[in-house]
Amino acid sequence: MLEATGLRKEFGHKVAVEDVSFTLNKGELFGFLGPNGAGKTTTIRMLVGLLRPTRGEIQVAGVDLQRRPMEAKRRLGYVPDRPMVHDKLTGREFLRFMASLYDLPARAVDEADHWLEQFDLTESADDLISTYSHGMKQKIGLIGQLIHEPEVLLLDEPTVGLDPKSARTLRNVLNGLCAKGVTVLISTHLLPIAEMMCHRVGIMDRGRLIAIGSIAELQERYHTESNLEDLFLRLTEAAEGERRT
Amino acid sequence: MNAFWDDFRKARNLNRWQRLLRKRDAKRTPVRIILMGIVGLFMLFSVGSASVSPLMAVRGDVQGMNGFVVFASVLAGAFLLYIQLVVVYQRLVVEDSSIMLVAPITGRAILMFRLLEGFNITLFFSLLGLPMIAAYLWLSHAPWIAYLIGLAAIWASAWLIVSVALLLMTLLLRIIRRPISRDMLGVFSSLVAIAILLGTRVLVHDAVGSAGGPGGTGPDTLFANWLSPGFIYLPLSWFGYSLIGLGSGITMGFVYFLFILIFTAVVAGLTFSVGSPILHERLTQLSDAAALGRRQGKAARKMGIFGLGQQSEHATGTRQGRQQADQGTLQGRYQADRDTRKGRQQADFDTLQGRQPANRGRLIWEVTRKDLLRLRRTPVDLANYLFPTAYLLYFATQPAKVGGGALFGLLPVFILVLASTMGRVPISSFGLEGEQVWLYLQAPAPSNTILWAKWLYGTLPTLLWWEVLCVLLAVFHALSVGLAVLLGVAGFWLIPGAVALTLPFAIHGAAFIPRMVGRRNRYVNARSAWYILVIFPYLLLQVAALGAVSIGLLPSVSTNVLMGGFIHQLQSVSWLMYAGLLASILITGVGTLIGRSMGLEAWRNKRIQLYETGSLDGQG
Repeated sequence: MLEATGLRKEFGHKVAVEDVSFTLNKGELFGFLGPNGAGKTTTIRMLVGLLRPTRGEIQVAGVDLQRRPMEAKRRLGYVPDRPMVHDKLTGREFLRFMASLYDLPARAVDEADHWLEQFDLTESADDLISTYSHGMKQKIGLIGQLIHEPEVLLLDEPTVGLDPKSARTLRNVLNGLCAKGVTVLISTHLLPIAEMMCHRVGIMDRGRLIAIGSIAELQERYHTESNLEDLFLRLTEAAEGERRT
Repeated sequence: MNAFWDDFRKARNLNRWQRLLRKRDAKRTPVRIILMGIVGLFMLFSVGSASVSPLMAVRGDVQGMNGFVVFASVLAGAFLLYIQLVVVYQRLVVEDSSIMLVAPITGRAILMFRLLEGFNITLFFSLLGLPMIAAYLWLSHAPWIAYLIGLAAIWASAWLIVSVALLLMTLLLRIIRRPISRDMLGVFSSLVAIAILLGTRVLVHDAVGSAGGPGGTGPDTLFANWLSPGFIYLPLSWFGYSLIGLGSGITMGFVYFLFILIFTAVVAGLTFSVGSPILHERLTQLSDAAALGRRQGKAARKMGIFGLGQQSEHATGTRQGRQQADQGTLQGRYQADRDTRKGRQQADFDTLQGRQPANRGRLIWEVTRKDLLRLRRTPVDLANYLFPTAYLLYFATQPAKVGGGALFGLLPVFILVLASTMGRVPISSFGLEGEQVWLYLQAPAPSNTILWAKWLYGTLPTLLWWEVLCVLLAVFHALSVGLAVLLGVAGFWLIPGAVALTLPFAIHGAAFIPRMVGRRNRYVNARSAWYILVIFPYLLLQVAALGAVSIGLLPSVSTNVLMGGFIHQLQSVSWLMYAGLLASILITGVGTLIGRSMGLEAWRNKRIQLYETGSLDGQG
C-alpha cells in the first residue's frame, strides 16, 4: 500500500535521510521509531509529498507520488506533530474547508459527526479553534484528515498533548481503521504504546532505517527477549558504537 | 520606595523582552520608520485640516470659535480615552495577565508602567491637535507664551486621559466577569471609531455646511451650545477652556492648566491606592473564569483516568501472547495482501481515473470564505480594513461645500486609502496562511485554484468598498445615477486587475510565519515597499483612466461638484470618456493576464521551494 525505495534527502551538505526502503501492507499499523533528529519527520514528509526526496521513489497504492502527486495525495492523510489547523475557523468550518480541499460533497462534514463524537468534540465543534487546547487542535486536525477516508494515514507524534482518554480513543480509532484496511504509519517516542499497538516497527537512527520487523522478529533476529524499549536502546546504542569505531 | 522601582524595572524588562521577541529583524526598521512617518504626516494633515477648517469657518465669531474648541477638546478627549481603555485592557488583561500573575511584581509597579506606556501613545495622538491649537491661538492674537502653555496643556491632558483610563479600567475589572475576547474588542473598537467619525461629520460639517443658510442651525449656534455651564465640570473640556483662557489672557489658561494637573494627580493617586490591591486579585479571577469557560475544561472534568503506567503494565503482561498472535495474524494477512495487491492497485487506479475532476469552483469559494472569515475574526486585519473604511466614509460623506467640496479634490484621499487597503488584503493573503500552507501542498489542490481563490479574496473586500463609495458619492455629492453606475462598473474592471498584479509579490514574499506579531508586521511592511514601487504607479494609471472617464461624462454631473470653469471647459472633450474606458479595460486586462501568469509562476516556485527545502520562512 505504501512503498518507499531508496529514499534519500539532503539539505545542502547535510544528509537527513539515507537509503530508507520499506513496504507497508494494507491494514498494517506500523510504528516509526527513533531518537530525536533521526530523520523520522523528514521521511514522513517525503512520504506525504511535502518534501521532494533527493533520491528514491514512493508509491502510494501503486501510484507514483512524484509523477502523479494529485492522485497519490487523494489517498493519503497526514497529521503532523504540530496541529495544522486554521485558528480563525470553528471546528466545523475547518472540516468543511478540508472537505473542499479533497473535493468531498458538503454532506461529508455531516458524516464527520461521528468522529467529533468519538473524540469528544461535538460540543466545541462550533467554537473557534483558537479557543481549543493543543490536544483538541490535534484531534480536529486528525478528523480533518479522516473525512476523506484515506487509504494510508501517517501520524507524527499524534499522542503529544492528548489526555489519556483521547489517547485511548486514538488507539481504538487507529485499530479500527486498520481493521477496515487502512494502512497507518505512526511515529512516536512512547515505546509502550508502539509495543502495544503496532504490528511492525521500524527504527531509524541518524537518517538510516537500522531495523524493521515485528517485535517478535526483532527479538529473534537479535537473540533477545527484551521489551521494545530495551531493544530500541540496544540497537541505537550499537549503531552509535559502530559509527565511533 | 526602592522596592517599588525594582518592581517597576521588572515590569519594564518583561515588556522589553516581549518587544525584543517581536522585533528580531532590525534591517527593515528604516522602512517602518519612513512608512510611519508618511502615515503620521498624512494623519497630521488630515486631522489638522478637519479641525482647522471648521474653526476658519466660524472665525470672527468668538462664541462659535470658543464653542468649537471645547467641543473638539471633549470629542478628542473621549476618543483618546476610548483608545486608551482598549490599549490598557488589551495589554493588561488579554496579553500580560499570565506573565504578570506569575512574576513577583506589585500591582502598583504594573500600573505605573502602564501609565507611562499609555502616556506615550496618548501624547502621540494628542499632537495631531497642534494645527487646531495653533490656528485658534493665531486667530485669537495670543502672545507667544500662550503657545508654550498650550503645549504644556496638551502634555498635561495626555496624563489626565491616561490616569482616567487606568482608573476606569480598575473599575471595569471589578465589573466584568469574563475577559472580552480580542476579536470582540477589535470589532467593537472599529465600530466605535466609525461611529465617532460619522458623529463628528454630522456635528461639525453639517453645521459648517449650513453656515449662513436660511433658517439652518449655524455653527455659531451649534458650537456655542458647548459653552453651556454644565461642560465646565467635565474634565475633558478643560483643555478647551485652557485654550480659551490663553486666547483671552494668559491667567485663566494657566489656571485651567493647573486644574488639569491637580485633577490628574488626584485620579492617579486614587488609581494607585484603589486599583493596585484589586489588580492581582481580579486578574486571577478573570484568568480562572476564562479557563473555566473553555470547553476542554468541561471535557477534562468528564474525562476518565487511564494512566500510562497502566498501559505499560498491561502491555508487559500480555506482550508475549499478543506478539505471537500478531505474528500469526499478520503473516496470513501479508500473504493475502501479496496475492491481491496487484489486482487491487489496478482497481484502485481505475477508480481514481474514473473520478470526477475536482469541483474547482467550490474549492475557490471555500478558500476565499476561509480567508474572509479570518479577516473578520482577526482584530488586526479587521481594524486594518475597518479603520480606512471609517476614514473613507468620513471623506466621502463630506458635504460638497466644505473645503471646496470637489469630487476631484477628494480623489487623492480615496486613492491613498483605497490603495492601502487594496494592497494590504491581497498582499498578506498568502503569508497569513502560516504553517497551514502545508494543507494546500498535502491535499490534491491545484495551484491555479488556490491562486484564483486568493484573487477573489483580494478583490471582494475592496470591491465592496468601491461600490459603497460610489453610492455615497452619488448621495452626498449629487452625482448622477449614470455616473455612479459607471464608476461602480469601472470598479469591476479596475480592482481585480490591481489585485492580480499584487498577488505575485504576495506569493514571492510570503514568509508563512504570521504567529509572531513582529514578523507578521515585518512581513506586511517589507512587502509594502514592493507594493509602493509597483502597485502604486499602476493604481495611479487606473485612477487617471477613471478620471478621464469621469471628465468625459461631466455633462451628467451636477455643477456643485465641479471645480469651476476649468472642468467645465473639458465637458466637450467626450473622446476622453472613450479613451478612459479603453485605457481602463486595456490596463486591467493586461494587468490581470500578467498578474495571473506571474502569480502562477510565483506560486509554483514557492511550492517547489517548500517541496525542496521544507522551509517556511521564505528564505529557502
